[in-house]
This record gives sequence, C-alpha cells and structure tokens, in this order.
Amino acid sequence: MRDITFSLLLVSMLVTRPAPRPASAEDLATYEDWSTAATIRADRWAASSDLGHERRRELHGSTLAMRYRREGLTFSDTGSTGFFSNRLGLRNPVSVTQLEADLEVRDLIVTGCMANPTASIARAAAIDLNRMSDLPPGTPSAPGDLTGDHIARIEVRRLSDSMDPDGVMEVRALLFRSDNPGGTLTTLVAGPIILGQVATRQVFQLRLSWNPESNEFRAALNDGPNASLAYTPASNARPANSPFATIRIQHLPANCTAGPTVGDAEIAVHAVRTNASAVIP
Amino acid sequence: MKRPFAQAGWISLLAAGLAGLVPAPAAVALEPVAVYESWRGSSTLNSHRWLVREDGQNQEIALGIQGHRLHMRHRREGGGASNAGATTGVQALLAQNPLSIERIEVDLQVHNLEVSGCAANPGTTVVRPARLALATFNDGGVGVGQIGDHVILILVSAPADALEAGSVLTVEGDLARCVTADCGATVSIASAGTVTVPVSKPFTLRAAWDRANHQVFIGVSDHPDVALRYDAALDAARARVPFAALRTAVTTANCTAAPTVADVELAVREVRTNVSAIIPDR
Repeated sequence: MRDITFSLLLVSMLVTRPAPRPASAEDLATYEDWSTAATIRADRWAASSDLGHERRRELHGSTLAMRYRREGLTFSDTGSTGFFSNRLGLRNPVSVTQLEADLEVRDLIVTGCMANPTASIARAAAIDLNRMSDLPPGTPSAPGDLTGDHIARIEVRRLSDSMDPDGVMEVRALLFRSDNPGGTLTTLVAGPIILGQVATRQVFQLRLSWNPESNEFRAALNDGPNASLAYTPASNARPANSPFATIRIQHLPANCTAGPTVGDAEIAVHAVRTNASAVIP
Repeated sequence: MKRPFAQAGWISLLAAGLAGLVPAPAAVALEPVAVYESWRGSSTLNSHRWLVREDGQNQEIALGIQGHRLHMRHRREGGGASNAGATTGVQALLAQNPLSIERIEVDLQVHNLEVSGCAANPGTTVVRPARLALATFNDGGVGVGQIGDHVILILVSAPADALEAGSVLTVEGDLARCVTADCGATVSIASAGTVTVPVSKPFTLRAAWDRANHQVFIGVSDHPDVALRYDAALDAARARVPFAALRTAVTTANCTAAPTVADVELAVREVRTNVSAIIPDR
C-alpha cells in the first residue's frame, strides 16, 4: 500500500505544475478570522448537515470547531451507506473565485468492515467550489438541481483500509460533474491529483481557485505548487445552477452486518480567505 | 389564558365531544415503561437507537453526549433584508424503532436560552426548546405522504422576542392531524391544554397511544396525564410515516435593524419507552 501511495505521489508530482498567476487574479483577503463576533455570522455563513449522529459547529475563541460523526447501516455487507456532510457555506458563492482555508484535523476515526470490501471513507475536511455548469444556456433547472454543475474539491481523507500511520491523511484535488439533481451520481472530469499528506493536530492550508480564462481550477496544499484541474470549454456553458463554496466534513461509512462502521472527525477552522471582492465586511 | 393541564384537557374534551370525541375511561393497562436510553452505555450515540436530523439553515449547532446527558444546542440568526417573515431551523433526535414505540417519556432541562426579537417584526422570534412527537394512525384520507397521519405533539415554547426574569416555558399537548405531505402543517383534533414550567427546572414529557381503546395520553412532569379519545373509525391504518422524535426548533424574524437571535441548549436526560421497544446496549 505504501508503494501505491508513493507511486501516486510521484504521479501527482508529474501532473502538478506551478501555475502562473493570471494577470486578472484578485488578491486574497481575509473573509473570516472569527474575530468580529462571538458566534457564527449569519451574513457570512449558511450551514447545514445531513442525517447522522454527533455534530458540532461552534466558535471557540478564534477558531470554529466542527464535528461530524456518522455510523453506517447494518443491513448488508456491500457498498456504503451513502455520503453525509456537515457543511459551512459561504453566503456569496457566486462572488468566490478563490478560496483558501487554514484547517486542522483534531481527531479522526474511520472504521471499516471485515466482510465488506468497500472501505469506509472519512473526508475529515474538504473545500468545494461549484461555479459552472455544462447544461446549455436556457435549459430549465429546478432550484437546487445539481445536474450539470461542476464541483472542484480539495479533500483531506483517510480510508478505513489505509496502511498509513495513524492520523495521516491524504490530500487530493479533483473536479467532478454532478449527473443527477442530488449529486449522488457523478463523473470525474479532472484528477484526482494527490497534493500530499497531512496529520492530525497539524495546521494546514488548502487553496482552490477558478480560472475560467484558462479553463481550469487550481488546487494547492500549503506552499506546494498549484495543481491544474483542467476542463474543456464546454464544461463552462453557463453558471452553476446551485452554486456553492463550502468547507465540510463528509463521511461515507461502509455497510456492515457485524456492527456499524464509523466516521468521526473533529476539525478546527482557522482563518478563511477569498478573493477580495467576495469579502463581506 | 393559561389553564391547568388536566382542567384544560377536560374543557377541550367536552368541546371535542361535540365533534365525536368522548371523555376517556378510567386508567387502562398499557405496557409498562423502562429505560430506553440513559446515555451511559457509550460515549457516542447508538445508531441502532437514534438518528439525528438538522433542517433549515442554522449557524451554531451541537449534539453530543456529555456527563450522561445528550446536549442539543441550536442557534440561528435572522435575515436582515426586510422586516417581514421569519425562518425556522430544527434539530431532531429520531428513535430508530418508531413502529414499536407506543409510550415515550423524556426527562429534559433547558440549560441556556436566548431570544432577541425585532421591534419592527414582532412576535415571530421564538425558541421551542422541545417538541416530543409520536405518530400513531392514519385516517385513510386522500393525499400523499403524511396527510391523514395523526401525531401526538407536546410542544414546549419560550416567550417570543425576549425573556424576562420570571419567564416560563409553556407546554401544549395535542393530538394533531397532518394536513400536508411533510406534516409541516397540522390541525388539532383534540387538545390537552397548556401548563407552564420554570425555564431552569428539569421537566418530563410523556406521550402514550392506547390503540385498543382509541385514545392517547399526554403528560407533563407531575401533572396528571390527560386522555384524549378519538373516533375509532379514524384509525384506518398505522401512520404512513411512523416516527417518534424529540426536537428543538428556533424561529428568527427578519429584521433590518439588527439580526434577531434564537439560541437554545437542551439537556436530554433519561428516555423511557414501553418495554418491548427497548433496544439493548451493543
């Protein structure tokens, strides 16, 4: 498994490249450092979570503490129960072209099932940008329908069958298209590109930007090079029908008749930066 | 006007009797209750017993076990674009075996409560620290989803817009009929009336369905249970969407002057159900 990891890292190094900063790129500015209010500001953030178990979104000092725990179902030993999130959404996603977050995974548990070859996946932290759709302009879409929307994501994840040392997570970037209204069916458009690894109790930075002039999203971990998530111009036929810019915890627990598998992540969200024009005073 | 629970129940029963409801008979033998959950067997929720759901867009939320209690916190701010309308957020704890539950009792205590309304949009910023709901039967009415389902609802509400030193919680109990597919709207079939409880004191909510005798029971703390009878013909089948749930809800008015706030932290102590509904520790 380690060999595979190293191979993936090697491959990712080959496809990652320093991406020149476009002349039109805005400067990043602080969107949120949790210093202007004792609670989450409703004018900056809209949050929600899916069916699951323990959860948390609370401010403590200058960090936002998030937790999400979800157990899997026990009716079978095949597949996973689904994907479930606790998400923090920026209020103005159509203004966001760059998103950078300082994050820390404080605790992570992901367990699998001996009888189920499908591993549980814990996405302890992820940042998403959904800005464009490949549906032809004028095609009617119901509010909230994700069909045709393209989601760029950097995810910090660990699988239940990981051979990495405890607390080590893989960071990868990908671009995928939602093929149905709920986003449960998707097609991979670009990536996944391995950006590196992080460990629990380590503050790291994820950075995602949309560069429509060069038909790509760019993704980076810490001071690493930008990885390009390229797409064809046809993918950007019109704005996303259900745009979002989010920070989330997401679990995909495997089904298991022997007993429920578990995904449980606690993270700290430190500063969040966006392109300056997206900042809400 | 606030009336004692039992007294109000009898008044409502007399009124309801005109519509086909009759006063309840003397106590009947229901299956005894025992502890369904004491939050002592594990430091995390047992998914065989519980599932948690969040609805609406909230800001802070927290749900977890601390010190043999389940703490449920829930906060949202209102929008600032106008002085009209309001938005509700909900956090619900759903029992996983609702078809087995005929009696449910929960011991609760409000640990924190904050309400800040809007002078230009009064009366709609409200915290409802608890609502215990138990779905019972469906009346066979035409419709989809939960339309026609009848639900025992015990709703605990704090005063709208602001709390004062002597504020109390109001507890209302009803047998209600769902009139929309998602049961977001209901009409009361019979009411047990209202009682009040101090904000900071522990209290108990009790709901029971005595299907054989076409009645439900609603109780609060030391107040005697109120029986609400219904026409046997209404019980055409089990509820289309069976559920037994405890939830917190916060509603915040829109306000241009400043964000309204509704914030509640509820401690769920022991939960008891009829014995046959209990799911063993794992």
